[in-house]
This record gives sequence, structure tokens and C-alpha cells, in this order.
Amino acid sequence: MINTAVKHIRRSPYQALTAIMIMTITFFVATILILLAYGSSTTLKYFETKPQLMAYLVKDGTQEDAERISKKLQSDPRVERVKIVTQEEALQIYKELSSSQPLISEFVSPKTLPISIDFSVADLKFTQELISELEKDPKIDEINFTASLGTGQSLEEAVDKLSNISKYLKIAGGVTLTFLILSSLLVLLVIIGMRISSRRDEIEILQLLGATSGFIRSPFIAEGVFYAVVGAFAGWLLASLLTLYLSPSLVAYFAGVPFLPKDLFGLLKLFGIILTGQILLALILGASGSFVAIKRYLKI
Amino acid sequence: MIKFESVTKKYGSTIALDDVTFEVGEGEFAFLTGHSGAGKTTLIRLLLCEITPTSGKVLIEGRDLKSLKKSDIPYYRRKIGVIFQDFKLLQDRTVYENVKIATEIDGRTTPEEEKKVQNALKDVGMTNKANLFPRQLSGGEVQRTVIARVLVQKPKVILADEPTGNLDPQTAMQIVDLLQDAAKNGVTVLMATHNADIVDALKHRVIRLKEGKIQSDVKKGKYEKND
Repeated sequence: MINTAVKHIRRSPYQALTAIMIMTITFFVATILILLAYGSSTTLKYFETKPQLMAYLVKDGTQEDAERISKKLQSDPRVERVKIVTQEEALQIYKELSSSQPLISEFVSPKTLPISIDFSVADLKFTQELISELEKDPKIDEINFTASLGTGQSLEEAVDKLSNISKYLKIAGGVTLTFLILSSLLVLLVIIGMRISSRRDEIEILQLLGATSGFIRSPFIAEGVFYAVVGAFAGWLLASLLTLYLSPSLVAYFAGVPFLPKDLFGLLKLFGIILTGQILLALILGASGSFVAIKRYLKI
Repeated sequence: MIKFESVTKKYGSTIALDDVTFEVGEGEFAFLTGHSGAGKTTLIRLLLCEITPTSGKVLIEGRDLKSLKKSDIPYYRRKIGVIFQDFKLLQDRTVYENVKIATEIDGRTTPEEEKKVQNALKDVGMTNKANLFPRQLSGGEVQRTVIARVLVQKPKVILADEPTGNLDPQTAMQIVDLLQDAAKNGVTVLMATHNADIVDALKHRVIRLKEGKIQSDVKKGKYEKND
């Protein structure tokens, strides 16, 4: 079966090359899209799970009050990571933030700073309801988002924006990929169909000699699978090499944001998972493309 | 081994075989003669399950071929060796590969099977041409390759449709000798031919067809000039 398939391929190298190139383009784009989807979702996750909210206690709020509220938050499934910031720790943060003006921080006493509780939400959609609930506690003075992204945007706005980008990326990627997979399937169908047409005499002889339909069909299936798998590997390889080449720039550009795994092992693991998925997809694509061609052109 | 019971085959309004009844026993060598269009090829196609009779029964080893399911036909055909006038060799495969394909189809891929392929090539005198492609062979060599392919099939029946049609008398006789050897080994041979010299020389049974009907069936027959 394999030998026959290899002979078919060697006999018409341009058809084989066309099929492999189309598959390569499909799987190259698929790999890039998967990496982009991975990057956007890890970036989104990164921002979503960053400490986002700070609940400041009233001036006479005590450490016991902070611990009571902290316990309540820890038992809430909507909340992730809870941390009490003591007055001393608050002063330390203040000093770090105003390090350019050390004299000002010298005049600040820890007692002037309130105790606060830093926490993040499992999903940003819980933010508003949590704020409303906590504001009812008489020991809480106010609740704030902790940071902006330095571009005038609040974290919530930024996450919303990212979430939208991620959503549209997935939709656009899905549409592009579907289109490319369908194109590849059609190219495969046409090429395998041409192969079948050019081998009518051989098929007739094999039938007369008692070959089963499986014996006749299997080389065509193997051929389709071969094109898809080689194309998948080539597309993955090109995309992976491109990503490896660009990764230092990407890591630098995204600074602390884990758009891609920072260590080589993590990156290789990600590539390995993508390759496994692509090969599985290629097997399905190759077999189904050939199968449709056989159903259409090889009625035995 | 082969039995036709009142077999009629029509293509539309054209009658190719008309109420044909005959029997060929195991290890028997029979010629099928008749002018072009007499029904010889239809008869062979019926035996190959390429077509089914309009009425009547075609039986091999007592089994009605109509009872074969579509999925059984390939396995049935492996018991039938066929030699065609147009050879039907795979042009992109060597002599050796063309013979070996019969064992591959049967799922036989052991080293012993390779030995059988080599022996078959030796029996037909094609060992030294094993690596050549069909286009590099003479007509006689091509037909001997086909016979080698049939021999490795170990068939119970050999159907030969004008196997000497394109060959010179000497080569044609060599081919028929190979078929006679097979018959001596218990294989039933049914050979459709127009070659009067061979039919007259061998004095085997001759079934003569005319316009789809059996005109005569003679144990040690001769070629009729009108054929």
C-alpha cells in the first residue's frame, strides 16, 4: 500500500507538490493562529488574575477587621488571591512609589495610611457586584481598582479591549482556517480524483485479479494522508522557526506579559502540543479528502 | 468444474448467448471457437462475474455465481486465472512486480511466496527478464508474463481469451504448451481462440459457438473453417 502510494507520488511530482504546498500554507496559518490565540488568552488571563481591587478600611479599622473581611473574601468562589496590606507595608509601597521624592515619604507615618485588602476576581464580570457587597461593610471606606495601564486606560477597559481582540481573533482565525481547510480538502479531492482517473486501467486489472476494494482504495487514502501530514509538518516547522526567530523581540515587546512561554522548554512543549494536534488534524483531513474523492470517482 | 445451465445473456434487444448449456470437468482442456461476436467473450465475462446472465445458471464447483455477494467476487476471482488477448499487465511495474501482484492481492507476502514468483517466472522462461517493464518485452514474452501471473495465483480454472491472438505460430504453441501443463496439474482450462493450427494440432474438446448458441461440442474436435 505504502509502496504503491509512493509510486503514485513519484510519477506525478507536480500534483504532489501542489497538494503539499496548499497543505503547508493551511497548517502554517493554523500554527500562527493557534499561537496568536494562545498568546491572547494567556495575556488576558494574566491581566484578569492580576490583583485588581483594593478595599481600604476606615481610619479606625483594625487588623481584626481586616482579617474578618479577608476570611469572608477567601471563602467566596468569585474571589482569587486575597492579601492584607498592613500600615507598615502600605508605607513601604508608598516609599517605593515616591522614591524620586524621598523627603516627602520621610514625613509620612504608617498611622496615616489605612489598612487595605488586595484581591482579584476570578472573572471581571463579578467586579461590580463584589464592590457593591463590600461597600455595605461599615469598616470599609472605599474600594478602588489598583492600577491603570499607563495609557490612561483602566484595567477593566484594557481587559475588555483585550477580551474583544481575543474574541475577534478567534472568530477571524476560525473563519480563515475553515476556508483554508475547505480549500485544502478540495485540492486534495481534485488531485486524488485525477490520480484515480489516470489509473482506470490499473484499477480494472486489479479488480479482474481479485483485488478487494480496500486493496485498490488504500494507496489513494495513503497518498492523501501523506500530503496532509507532510504539509502539516512543513507548515508547523516554518511557523515554529519564524516564532523562534521573533520570540526575543516578542518577549521584549510584551515585557512582563507572558504572551509566549519565556523558557525554551515551555516554548518547545507548546510547539509539541501544536504539532500533535496538527498531525491529528492532517490525518483526518487527508483521509477524509481521499475518502470523498474515492466515493466520488472510484465506484467499485 | 464449469457448468452452464440454459444460460441466456441479452444486451438490450441483442442476444449474446442463447440458451447455452455445457459442462467442463476438472483438469479438462477445452477450446471455445466461433466467429467474432459469437459470444465467446460474453461467456468468459460471465465466468468472471463481470456480468450476470439474463436467465439460466453459471456454476463453478457447483456454486451458482448469482449467489455470490459483491464482496465475495474478489475472493472468487482469485481462483480464476485469466489470460487476455490484450495482456492486461501493469505498464509501470516490472515483470517480477506484475507476477508478484497476484500474491499481494491474495495477502501472501512471505519469502516462500517470493520463491513461488521466481519459480513461476522460471517455468515460463522469464527469469532473465524479471526486471524489465512490459513495453520492453516482445508479445510472446508479455503473454508468458501473464501466464506466470496466473500460475502464482494457483487457480482452479484458467480462462484464456484469444491468448495467442498477437503471437507468431511458434510462440503461440509455447503459450499453449504452458496451458496444457497447467491442465495436466488438474487445472481446468477454457481457451477461446481463432487459431486453427493450435486447435487442430492439440485435438482437445472444441465447443463451437455461433450467434450465441452452441453449434457443436466435440470431444476431440477440429477447427471449423467457417469460424
